[in-house]
Amino acid sequence: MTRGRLISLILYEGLGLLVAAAALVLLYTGSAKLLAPSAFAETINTHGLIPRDLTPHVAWGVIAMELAVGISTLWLVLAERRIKPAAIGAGLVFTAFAWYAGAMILFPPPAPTGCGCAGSGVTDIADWGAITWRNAATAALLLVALPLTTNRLAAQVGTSEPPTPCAQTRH
Amino acid sequence: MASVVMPQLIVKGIENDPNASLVTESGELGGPTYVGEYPTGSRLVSSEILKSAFNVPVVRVYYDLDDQQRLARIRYENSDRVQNFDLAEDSTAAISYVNSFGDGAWTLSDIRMNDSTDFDIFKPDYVAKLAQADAIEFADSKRTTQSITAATPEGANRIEQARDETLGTGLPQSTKRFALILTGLIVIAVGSLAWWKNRS
Repeated sequence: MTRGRLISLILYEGLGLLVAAAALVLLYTGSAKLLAPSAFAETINTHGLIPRDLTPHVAWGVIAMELAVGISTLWLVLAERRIKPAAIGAGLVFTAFAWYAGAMILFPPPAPTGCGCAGSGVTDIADWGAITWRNAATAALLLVALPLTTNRLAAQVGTSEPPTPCAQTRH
Repeated sequence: MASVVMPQLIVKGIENDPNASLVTESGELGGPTYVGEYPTGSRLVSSEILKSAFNVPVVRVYYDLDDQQRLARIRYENSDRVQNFDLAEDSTAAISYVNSFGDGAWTLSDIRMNDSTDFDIFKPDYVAKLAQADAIEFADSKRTTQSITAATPEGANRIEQARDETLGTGLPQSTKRFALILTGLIVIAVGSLAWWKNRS
């Protein structure tokens, strides 16, 4: 194995770990909400963005989405060795969270409240700006940086990562 | 007392009776309740009635935001009592009423949260202090908690301790540990399956 290929392999595995870390975050936040779904729904209620009647359904939807994406992302990284689709799936979830937090800046809740991110309650006052930035940065890393990099690295280390047109033009 | 809105209300056996019912002239408003909570709409309980029922100062508070009627409830330390704050039509009248229980000549600017609009939101800590409460819980007309404000350190502790059980919000540390354990179990399961798949 050449030195360049070894470095590519290490980088590729490192990126896989990064995506796996994102999956772990989703799994933890989903699990925390799963253990107290009514509290999460209550927190969404206090945001005042979603009609009250819908909040229990939205709460369960978010929980299911986080767990499903977390598990599938982990599976793609560990079993399928396909970092790109895993990164895109997790990135879309973080994008959704960033949009929601951004909406909370534009349409602030009637009273200061928590975000419910990892089961936090209404008394854990949320900093919506920080939450928006955090999720947007994670989404950008997963959606833009990772797939581009992994395409290139995957080609170098010889994995089954399907190349994109962008990656093809680089070779 | 200033002219505040007094709804048509008949009270049956409210004093010292946690199972009391509040009824209106047009019919029953709410059935038997558990201790300290009365099934009231935000504008339907007379402060005089509450004052009589709880034997504590009750303040009429104009707490109106975006045409949403609010019900303010005060939670008392070492008690299951929950105090309902009613609304007043006129903030000047409310101030007069507040001062009748207060320890000084309060003005609107002292206690008002927002003076740029035509409605007045009273500072929760002030309201809580005035009513000698440790914490105040603001809820909407459907009794959904909107915010909780501590007025004393004891109130802050009380909120921290009670929010998971009493208010149903937030997660206790044990639940966070369970979430961590659950995450670990999922990772182990997925990791094992991945390892088995790659091995075969």
